Amino acid sequence: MLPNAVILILQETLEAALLIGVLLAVSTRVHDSKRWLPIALVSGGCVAAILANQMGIISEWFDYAGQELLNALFQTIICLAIALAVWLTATIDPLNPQPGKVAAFSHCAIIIIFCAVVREGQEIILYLGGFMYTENFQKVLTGGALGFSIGASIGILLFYSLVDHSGRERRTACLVLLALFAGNMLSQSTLLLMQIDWVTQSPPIWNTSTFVAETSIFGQLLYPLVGYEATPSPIQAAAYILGVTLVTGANFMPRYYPEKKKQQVQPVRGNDA
Amino acid sequence: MNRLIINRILFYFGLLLAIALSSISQAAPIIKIEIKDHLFYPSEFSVPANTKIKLLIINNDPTPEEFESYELNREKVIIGNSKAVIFIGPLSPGTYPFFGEFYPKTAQGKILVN
Repeated sequence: MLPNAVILILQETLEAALLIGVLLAVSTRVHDSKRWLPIALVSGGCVAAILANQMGIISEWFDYAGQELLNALFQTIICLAIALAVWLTATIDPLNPQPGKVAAFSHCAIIIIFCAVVREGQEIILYLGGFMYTENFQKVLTGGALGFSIGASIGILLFYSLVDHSGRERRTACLVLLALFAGNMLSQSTLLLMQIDWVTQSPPIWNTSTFVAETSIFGQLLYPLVGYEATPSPIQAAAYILGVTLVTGANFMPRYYPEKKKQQVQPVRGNDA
Repeated sequence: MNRLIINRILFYFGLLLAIALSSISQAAPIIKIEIKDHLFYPSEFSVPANTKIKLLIINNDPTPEEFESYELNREKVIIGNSKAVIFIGPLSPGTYPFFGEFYPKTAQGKILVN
């Protein structure tokens, strides 16, 4: 029971932990308050608990497609919010950050982490809930706590290894990670749509399972980090590329289409600076 | 200029979505799998190759289970005493293992595609 609980909770925690690590590293440039993190964690946790509790009803929506549609929606929102957050960081002047944009960045970060926590949180709650009244509950809880700590540690490690680097290197690393995250999210959402037959499945474009098996430790680490899939279908690959393009595009667009002077002196809106 | 590009991106995205949605569910053969005491019944079955299959999974346990398969690229939580639907295929011939992620020691099975 115990090793399985460690692995399962670790898998579920890792994605959110890595996202938080990168977003925190990005936000050091933006100089915002880090208030978005507790807000997103608490609200995400609460909504995850509600959804886990109502999962029976949600699953039956749209002829047993509710669970997939909801998760696909969260994943798409994560992808779009990452693109928006990247665009904002690219336009914010680190020496003189515009409060409105900094507040907008915080809101994006809340949306991203909220969605990630809701998605993974409901699975953790359902899993742990299943053991609630069994003699194994203590063991599973211990294993879960261990898995959670490992996941959180990897997120913290990522954060410190990112902020350890100089501005330019850090920005590139964060951009690459966020672009891959976004691609991963969109690609996973198409997979869910295939699972409910809203999108037709086509044969995989390649099979790298002999190279890196998804069940191997390396494969398990690559999955949340870059969305590694041994047998992706063409639609999945297209969605992945679309997500990556969206985020990289959002980063480089301000460089080629600089904002007009008029827009730069917008009235101050947020108070999150 | 800027708006033109965004419009164009939106247009192609919409087009892609429309193509994807146009192929919504034709009737697929249904295979029923039951979960009882953290075991799959049947735990092994054959399906024809290159055919879309509808898996109807009924969880008779009071606890939730997660149907998962790396080979099929499928993952779905089925809460206790409820049922779920998962579409798989069209698949090429081969063996496709699946397992219950919440109880992986016992909940194991495989689909033989031939």
